[in-house]
Amino acid sequence: MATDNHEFEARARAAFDASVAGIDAPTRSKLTQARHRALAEVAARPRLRAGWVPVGAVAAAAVLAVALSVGREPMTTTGTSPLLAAAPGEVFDLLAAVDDLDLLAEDVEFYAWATGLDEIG
Amino acid sequence: MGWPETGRAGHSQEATTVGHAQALDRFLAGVERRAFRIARMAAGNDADALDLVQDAMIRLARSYGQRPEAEWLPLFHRILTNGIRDFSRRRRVRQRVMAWWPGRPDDDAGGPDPIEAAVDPGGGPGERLEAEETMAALEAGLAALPARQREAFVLRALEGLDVAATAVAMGCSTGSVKTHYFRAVHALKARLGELE
Repeated sequence: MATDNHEFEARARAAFDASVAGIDAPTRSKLTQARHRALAEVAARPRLRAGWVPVGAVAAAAVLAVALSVGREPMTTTGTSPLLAAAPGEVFDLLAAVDDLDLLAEDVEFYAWATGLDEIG
Repeated sequence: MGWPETGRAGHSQEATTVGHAQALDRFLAGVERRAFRIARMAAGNDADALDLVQDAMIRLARSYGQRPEAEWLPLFHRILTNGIRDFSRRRRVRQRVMAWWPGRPDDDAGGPDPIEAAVDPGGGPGERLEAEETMAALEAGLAALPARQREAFVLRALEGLDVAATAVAMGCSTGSVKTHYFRAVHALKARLGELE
């Protein structure tokens, strides 16, 4: 069964590769122009400071960690999550460092992966 | 005495930026044609497919251009996949609106014909015909799949991403990728046979 699937996948990929190889010259030229436009637009805009995205990702991951800890771990006698009780200042410092709060509404897993945070622990 | 130090640092940073831009240019040049074919399967025409690819290039360069090169491929496909999802949603809304519009033209109502939309693959006449037929059948089969199964098959089988990279590109777990991919392969085989 696995071999059958591999053969099917190989034929599908060969057909796709052939269609890619058959892209005509005008379209290839348009793709090159599109790439140059994309790179030129990015070069013309001020670059993000290197720390911004990681800080946002760290904050997003921190929010996720807090949410998970609240859901999974027993509360202390004061009703506070152990994580928050241990280091509330650090968590809120991270949250305060986020430049774009929309980051928090986006896919946390995506940002965690993008910064390599999912490899920790 | 700080100026020479600052100057060296500036030159070094500039050289790094130029080198990074060149690396990004090479990366995008390497993926743009395959990305175009993927976008064209979804959009059904060259103009929209080009827009989708250019938009993905801009978003990758703007948001993740400073990330390590090894991360660019799954990130690029995640951006492209999201762009295609948005495009498909907008088209469905537009078609619903047009369905209520008096005297609407019918030619756009059913979406693109995958056979007419297929790209000329080149090669000899026999090979071309065979490749065209195979690709047209594959596109029709993919068009009939649920979106997530289609994405899993395109990324895994056609683009050759591994399960982890496909999960990143689709924004889901590796387990979900395996499930969607398994179902996609079986549905396509049931529809297309062995894809001779």
